[in-house]
Order: sequence, then structure tokens, then C-alpha cells
Amino acid sequence: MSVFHGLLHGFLVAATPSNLLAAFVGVVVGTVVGVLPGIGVIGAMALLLPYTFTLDVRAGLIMLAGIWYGAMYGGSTTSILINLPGEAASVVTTLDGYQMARKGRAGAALAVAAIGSFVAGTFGLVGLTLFAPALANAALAFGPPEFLAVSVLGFVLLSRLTGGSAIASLLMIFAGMALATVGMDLMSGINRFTFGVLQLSTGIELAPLVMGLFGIAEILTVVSRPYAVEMARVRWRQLYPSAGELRRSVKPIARGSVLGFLVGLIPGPAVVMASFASYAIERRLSRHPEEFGRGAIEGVAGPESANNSATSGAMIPLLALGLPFAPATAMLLGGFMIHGVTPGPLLMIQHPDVFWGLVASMYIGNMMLLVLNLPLVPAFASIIRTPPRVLMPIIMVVSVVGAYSINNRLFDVWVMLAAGALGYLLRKADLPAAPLVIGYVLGPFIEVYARQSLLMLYGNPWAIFVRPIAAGCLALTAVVALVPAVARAARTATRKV
Amino acid sequence: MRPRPGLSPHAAASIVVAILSALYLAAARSYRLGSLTNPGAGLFPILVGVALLVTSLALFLAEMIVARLPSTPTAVPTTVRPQTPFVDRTMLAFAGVSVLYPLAMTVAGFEIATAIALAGMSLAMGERRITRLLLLGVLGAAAGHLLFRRFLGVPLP
Repeated sequence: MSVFHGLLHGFLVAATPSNLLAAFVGVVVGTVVGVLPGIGVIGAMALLLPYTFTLDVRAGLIMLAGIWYGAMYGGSTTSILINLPGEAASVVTTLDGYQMARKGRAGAALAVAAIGSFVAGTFGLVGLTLFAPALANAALAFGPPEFLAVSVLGFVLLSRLTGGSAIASLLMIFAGMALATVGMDLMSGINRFTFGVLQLSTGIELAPLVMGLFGIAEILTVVSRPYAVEMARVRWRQLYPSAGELRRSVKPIARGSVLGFLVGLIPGPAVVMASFASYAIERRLSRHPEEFGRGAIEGVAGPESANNSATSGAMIPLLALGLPFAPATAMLLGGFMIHGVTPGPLLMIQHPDVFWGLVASMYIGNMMLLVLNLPLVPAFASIIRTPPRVLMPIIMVVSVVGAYSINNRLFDVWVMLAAGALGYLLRKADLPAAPLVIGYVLGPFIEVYARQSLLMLYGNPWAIFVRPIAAGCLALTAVVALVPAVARAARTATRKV
Repeated sequence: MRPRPGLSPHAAASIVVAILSALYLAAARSYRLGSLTNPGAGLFPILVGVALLVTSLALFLAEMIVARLPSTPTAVPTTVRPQTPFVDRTMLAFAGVSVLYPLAMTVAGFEIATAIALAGMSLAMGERRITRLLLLGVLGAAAGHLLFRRFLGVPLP
């Protein structure tokens, strides 16, 4: 199936009423989640994951993906109106978006953010449409050693790019991999680390674990420190940007689209990195860098475009290789696995309707977001006025019922609450939870790849270096791991001289 | 040149993880290690456990080295993070109600437990108006009944 025919088939799949409804629900929930500070996109995806069990695999994945890119749109609303980012990717938008709002240009900032998000989102999707099939075709030549090497490279890149301590990120990745060993070993049939608890023989379920680590931990954080709201007014007549503002936004949107897509391919918190990188580039390229931080429209257009484009870029490793290197794509992998579909090089061959349906739904969802977001900005913004003391109890009840509905048992609720306590403690200890989830999701794959590789290589792990792709990935891993340390040592030596 | 007082959050966490990884390794020893040509169920957990232990020790050492470095005044004032208590009373009360809620569901059923839990959590967060608490509890339980039991068909207790 060619790309054109595949996409056409995808539109036929995505345009069925149930899939359109799933996309609509996903983008609306995503926008609401993006608007609400304290409830992150991963938490929301985790909370809604159990509710997708009853849906068809395509509808379930379309809804989950919709939440992700919908949140990127919604995140800008509160950044601009109340200087409170709904999403980490929108933190940088507060710098100039809120300043524009204070000058009475909130509507223009919101409009540029929505237009930029749409353009960049569509650009990213074109990239996804073209590159994912090509990468999947190339990955058909991959064996377990290559997948193992790519996973190791992804982990090292992830630990370097999460923003905090690389050792702390690695620690969390290994902790996630350790958690993933709980349950029955599929190759030998032995129960590991279950300590006689029957429910643990199938392992710790992904959904309650992530619901706890992100959703419950976020609820507890908000409960400890409720947000206060002071909102800028949006006047309808000021909703549209002036010709000058639009002209100034064109290049930042274009640059943000390309940059975001490329950064999205890199393991780690791609959407956040993309928005910050775009802001830095726009300030450097601007003829008026002094305007940045005081309401420069480029500071809204670039980052908001970049974070939307990055969502499409980050989907490529998941769909083409089956390797999620971002927490949101790990959640999507959870959605795939729950429905018995394995993403990767064979996805397009074995489940073309799932792959192309998902890609096509993202084009449709982007259009829905543009149509929804501009006229409904005041409505979405008013959601933020719901007091936390009403909102948080409701979200907690939805979480408990969601966890219960996974297997209709209370055990998953206890897992979720325990994971929530762990997530809260991790936040207090300044340790990132996202690498833990990625380690947990990829751990079983890595174990299987490692054991299959050893069998293939007759027990000689060094033979992996004879395989060019695997050896290349491992060499790159060494470079990524060692270069910062060498550079630091060189700087210290230079300073001493 | 005075070392900063107390353990950093990372250092404290690394000690906890080191202890947990040692326990994990001890438990992993009970599974067959196998050989490189025929790896057993214990090989991967042992590797992960060792990696976890080594990384936690590395994090602890890194934190100790940083703690011994003299703190240099910065030219640009850094952002001061608001200090929040490790756990506060509101959060503990909210968490307590959240833990009791699933238990209450098995005893009193979903609707009654939900009404009490919603009002209880809101009360824990500082809502003192009885009418609002009652409204939240009753309307929330009714909405939950319609959404989860009727519409989504979740077999709740």
C-alpha cells in the first residue's frame, strides 16, 4: 500500500461516526486538560485509558492521541490568560503570551497560538505520514540485537535530555525496569517477585501505575497547594491578530514547525524541549530581542507551533519501531497493548486500518481543534474558574472508578493509590516519574530482546558489534554518554591551566 | 567553605533506592540464572538490580560531592522556589478520605460511598458550607451513577 493509498484508506477509517466521535471527545478532553493546571496530559491519558477498553482499538487510540495533541492546544490558553501554564510545554508561552494579554492583545495571542498549532500540527503530520512508513520499512531488517541497541541508545538519550540529573533519570529507568519484572516470566513461566499474591502474577498493570504516578500525584500536589486564578479579559473584537502580527508570526510558525518535528524524534520530553528551543531561536533571530518577555508575538507563535509539531515527530519511533521514548507515547503503547496490537515495523502490514486510521484522525482532529479553539476560547477559559475543592474530589472519584473498571477488582485501585503515593514522594525528592514509566513499558521488551539476542549470538554478547546497525547505535550511545563528562573534564582542566 | 547541612532529596532517595535494590537482588537470587546460551528467569532481574544499586550509589556519591563544594554567590539572582512542607494536613486528610473511599464502596455501595467521599474530600480541602458539600455529594453521586453504572455499564459494588 503506497503512502497515498494508505492515507486515503485512513481517512475512510477515521471518518466513520464512532471514530469521528472518539477524535472529538479526545481533542475536547485534551483541550480541557491543557487548560486546567495541575492535571497533566499523561495523567489524563492514564485516567481515560481504562475507559477505552470497551471501545474498538481504532477509536480507543484515536481518542488517546486526541487527548495528547489537544492538550498542546489547550495549554496555551491559561498561559496567555492567567500566566499559569496548563502544560509543561506551554510554560514558555507565559513569557510573552501573558504580557500580550496585559496589553489587551490576549485574543491575538490566542489566535496566533491556535493558527500556529494548526499549521505546525499539520506539518508534523505530513512528516509522520512520509517518514514513519519509510522508517518502518527500514526497521523490517532489524533483529533483536538491533532493537536492543536502539532501546539502549534511547534510554541514554532520555537520561541526558530530561533536564535534571542524568543519573537520577537512569535510576528511574532502572526502577521502572525492575517493576516490570514483577509477574510471570513469559519465557520460563516462573512467577517472579509476586510473593504469593495471586493478582501480581499478571504483573503490575500499566494503567493503574501511570494513573497513580501522574494523575493521583498531581491531585495530591494541587490539594497541597491549590492554584488561585486572576484572569485577563478576552474581548471578541480583539480575537483576531492584526496584519502586522500575522506577518511577524509567519516565519516563527514555519521555523517552529520544522524544529518541533525534528526535536520530536529525539527521546525525552520532546514537546517541552521543542517549545524552549524555539523560543531561544526566535529571540536570537529577532531584530528586536528586547521585546521578548514584554509581549513579542514571535515568542508565542514559535513555541506553540514547535510543541504541536513535536507530538507528530514523537509518534514516529512508536509507530515505526514500537519504541516509545516519551511518556505520552508510552501511554499510547499501553493503549495498543491493551487491545492486543503491537506497534512497530509490522503495524502497517498487519493492521493498516489502525496505523492509517490513527494518522488520518490526527489531520481531522487538528482541523476540529482549530474550529473549536478560536470561538470557544472564553468557554474553555471559564473551566479554570471551577474551584479546586470541587474539581479535585470529582477527578479522584473518576480515577478510582477508572482503576476499578480495568479488571473489576479493588486490587487495581490499591495499586493506583500506592503508585500515587510513590509519585508524590518522587516529586518531593525531585526525581522524574516519566523515565520510570518508559523503563517499565520498555523493560519487558528489552528483556526479551536481550535473551533472544544471546540465543541468536550463541551466548557471545560481543558478537553484537559485528552487526553494523547495532554497533552504530551502541557507538552513538557511548558518544552520548561520554561526551558531556569529557567536555566537563576538559573545561575543568582548562580552568586549572 | 562549609558543606551544606542535611541530606539533599536526591541523596535521601538514593539511600532508600539502594536498600530496596539490595532487597530486590536478594529476592532475584532465588530464580535460575541460566547461562549466556540459555538465560534463565533470574538473569535479567540480577542485571537490573545491579544497575539499580550502582546507579543509586553513584547518585549518592554525586550528591555528596556537590554538597562538599563551596557555594558560590551567583551574579544573577536565581529563582527561589516556594518551600512547601513534605506533607501537609490538607493533603493527608484528602488522601485519607481517598483510601477509605474504595473500602466504603464495598460496604455501603458505590452511590452512598461516592456521596460521602466527594463531600469528605471537599471538606478536607477547606469547603465549610454545608449546602455546597451536600450538593456536591448528592449531585456527584447521581452523575456517577448515571455515567458509570447506567451509561458505561461498570459493574460497581
